[in-house]
Amino acid sequence: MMFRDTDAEVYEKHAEELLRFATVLVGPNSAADVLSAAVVKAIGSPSWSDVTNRRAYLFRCVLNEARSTLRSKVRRESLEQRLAQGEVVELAQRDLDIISALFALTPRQRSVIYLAYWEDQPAAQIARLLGISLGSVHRHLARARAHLRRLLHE
Amino acid sequence: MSDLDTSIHQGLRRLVDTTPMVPSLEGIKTSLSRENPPFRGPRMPRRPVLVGVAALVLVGGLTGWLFGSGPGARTAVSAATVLKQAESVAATSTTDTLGAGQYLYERTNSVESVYTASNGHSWTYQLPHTEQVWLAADGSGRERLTPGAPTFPTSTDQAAWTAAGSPALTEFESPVSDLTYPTLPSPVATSPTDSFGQQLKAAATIAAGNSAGLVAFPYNQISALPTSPAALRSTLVSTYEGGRANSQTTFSLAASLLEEAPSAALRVALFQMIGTLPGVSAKNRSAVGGDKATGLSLTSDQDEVTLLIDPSTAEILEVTNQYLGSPASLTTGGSALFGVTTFFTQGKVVSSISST
Repeated sequence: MMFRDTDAEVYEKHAEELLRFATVLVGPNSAADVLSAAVVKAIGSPSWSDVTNRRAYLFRCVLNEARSTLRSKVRRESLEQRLAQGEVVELAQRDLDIISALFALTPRQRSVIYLAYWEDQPAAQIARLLGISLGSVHRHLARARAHLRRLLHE
Repeated sequence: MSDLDTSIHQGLRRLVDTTPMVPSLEGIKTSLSRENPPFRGPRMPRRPVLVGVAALVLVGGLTGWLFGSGPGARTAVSAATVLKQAESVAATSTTDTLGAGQYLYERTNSVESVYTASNGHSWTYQLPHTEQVWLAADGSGRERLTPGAPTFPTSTDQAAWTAAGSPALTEFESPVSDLTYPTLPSPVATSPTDSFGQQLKAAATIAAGNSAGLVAFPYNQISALPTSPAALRSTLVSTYEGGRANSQTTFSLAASLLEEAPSAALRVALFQMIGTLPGVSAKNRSAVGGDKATGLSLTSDQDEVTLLIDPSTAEILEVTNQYLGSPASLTTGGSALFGVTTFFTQGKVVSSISST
């Protein structure tokens, strides 16, 4: 499979934001792998040349790849353990509680939370990026907040 | 900004701060060259979206939900006519009052349509679930979600799933949940200068969402909304959309508010406001579960939101969010949720909260 110049431009344009997204989804240790695998699959896809919104397509690929990664219970537990041991970064207990709560969400809920809160994306744009309906965005966000509120005892 | 919002942002900041170095382009190229073939999934058959819609009809048992010129379809009417009729009925509706210890109870059945491509096959399936919400004036309450078993709209879909090895249909499955909502401050403060996803945050701050993809608003919030259409729209945009007007978001918010609007004046204002949104059109669907209905829809970027209204009560019977493009275009060999239809099986009943 050839890697065209335009593909390189797309990658360089979006790699940083996609990597942040992957980090929030799977943690820093697996984020680069997830991004690489997602990009390889996207560009290798026969439909890639027909994709009009490549940014959205790549976001979905990262989410799909992250979900595959997180399906492995061992990996998930390993991630939680590393976070709990402060291996990734020195964390205050409160930060650890919040991050643990974020990782208790489903990947899709976490995606919506991240895009809404960190990337400041409007609902319609999140729907487009993740390939879900506008109503689903509201639902995932509302449910994620309810879970977080409960987990954080607020 | 609430404490929860601050916490979420704090947690995200900590995570984002750990973002590693971007993988090199060379590494990606090398990985790509090793892929042979890089992507084994076949091109997905371009499944007409009506297949998905028809599936929803089957799953929901909505034998009377008809399109176009089918039997039972009505003569096309304009959105203005639908809205005028709804306004006149809403003007005569009674105003509910939630006292201490009373809750707005609502039960909905929803069906999510999922497109999946796996192992060289593609299919559509539906995930049903029932949701009950008790919501007090102060935002406190309870939400119970009970998922149902996945079903296939057609034997062809089921055959494709079987041929793919009968993989688990759990990607979009909602777990059983029973949540308690805490009391919320009133009114929820939102700042036009708040930088954190205002549009969503504000809506979701108000309470918890239900499976319709709608957002439940405490009465003590919406009772303060203006009843002039222009002022109402302006307030929704500034308060709940972060000042960035988006007609479809406003339309969806209006649908949520119509579910709960405690006063006839606000209901009328909501219908009038919908009439000011560009792109709203009448939807020629004539019946839901045997009930006569009139419909309104708004499409933006291939996302269609449709409200079906009971013409005799001006109550919302159904809300549908539907992606009008090819579901296959939403995924790369995985699954994509491309439609959600919610039926209000028991709406807006003042009750005590269930203890079981």
